[in-house]
Parts: sequence; structure tokens; C-alpha cells
Amino acid sequence: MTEYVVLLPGDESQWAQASQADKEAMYAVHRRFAQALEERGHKVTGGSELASSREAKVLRTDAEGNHTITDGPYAETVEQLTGFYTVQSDDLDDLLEVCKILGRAEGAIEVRAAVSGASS
Amino acid sequence: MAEEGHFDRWEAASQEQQQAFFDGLAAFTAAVRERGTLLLGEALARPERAVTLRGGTATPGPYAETAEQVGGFYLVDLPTQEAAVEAARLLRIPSVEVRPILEVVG
Repeated sequence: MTEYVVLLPGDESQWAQASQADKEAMYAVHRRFAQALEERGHKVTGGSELASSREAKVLRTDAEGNHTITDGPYAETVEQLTGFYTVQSDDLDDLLEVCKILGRAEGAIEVRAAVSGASS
Repeated sequence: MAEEGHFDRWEAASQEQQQAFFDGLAAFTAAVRERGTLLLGEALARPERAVTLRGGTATPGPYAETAEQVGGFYLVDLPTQEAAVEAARLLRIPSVEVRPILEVVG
């Protein structure tokens, strides 16, 4: 099994303006996604919904080891990371098929393999 | 985050340089465990190996055309965001974004 990270970038302003019903519909799509993964032999090993990028702080370190801390996300882009899943799978093509369930709710979905043994 | 050229430089780095980077990760995880919990950590493959879905169409590559790309992440439980930023100072990584999370699944 390979560990994959499913990154969920999105336009946060749309989410901020979404009604409670819209948000419930979104969470329902995520539940269907999780259910489909399980049914098709993929295993969700982690995941989270991130707070708004407005709440992010970025720590930058220069070559001399000097630190600076700024408010806001690292990239000034419309699409910001809004959440992620980690999924164990031995079938990337099928994982991508299941990710299309999320595609109805999420603008873009990036799937990338994790590198084992480097995390801790 | 991984700055531009990060993955190329990583592969070209000496064993000593790579060890210094891993020492930074170890110092970070030790600092986290002193004050809280390390929930998850992943290092990601090169962004060229990513596949991005938009409107049901899969294309190779990452979602953002930015110089800096996500290179890996940690999920940590610490008393404050400031504590997380303090721990992140131990990472030998040029840029680190620290953000609260709303909900954990899995």
C-alpha cells in the first residue's frame, strides 16, 4: 500500500458565504467520499479541515538562521488549502475515481504520494 | 513548504546536509512531544508526481503554479498557535505555515 495525501484547495470566500444548508451538503459529500473509499479497499488514515488561511502564521528562516513571522498564508493565491486526507491505497487510478465524488464539492483536488519514513 | 528548487537541492544534498535536516525534524517532534501530541506527519513526493482533478479531469502536476509547493506537513496538538510556531523554529525549513485546524477525521 502506498500512502497518498489528498490536498483540498479552494476559494475560502465562497465557503465563508455558504449557507448552513450548503455546508451540510458539502459535509455529506465528504461522508460519501469516505464511505466509497472504504467500500473500494482504500483506507483513510487521517485528515482535517483547516481554519481559514487568515489565521495562518508563516515562519520564514533565512540562510543565516534568522526567523521572521508574518500573518496570513505562505502563498497569496485565491485557492488556499482548506483541508486534506491521508489515504492508503494500492490503486491510484481508483483512488482518483473516488476523489471525483469530492469534485462535485471541491474546485480542485491534488493527490500526491507521501514519502515513507521521513515524517518523524 | 518547499521553496523553488527544494526537491532538486534535496536530492543533490550531501548526507551531512540531509542529516542536519532530519536533526531539525527530530528537534521539532521532540519539542512537540514535550508540550503536546504529534498526531500525524507526512513528507510528500515531488510535485511533478502529483495529479490534480478539476471538474472531473485529471492532469499531472500540483494544483498551484507557485514557486513554493507543499513539501510535507505535521498535525500537532499544542496549547497555542504560538507554541506551534516556537516549535517550528527548530525545523531547518525556509518557510513553514502554521494554521489551526477545525476538525480531525480518521
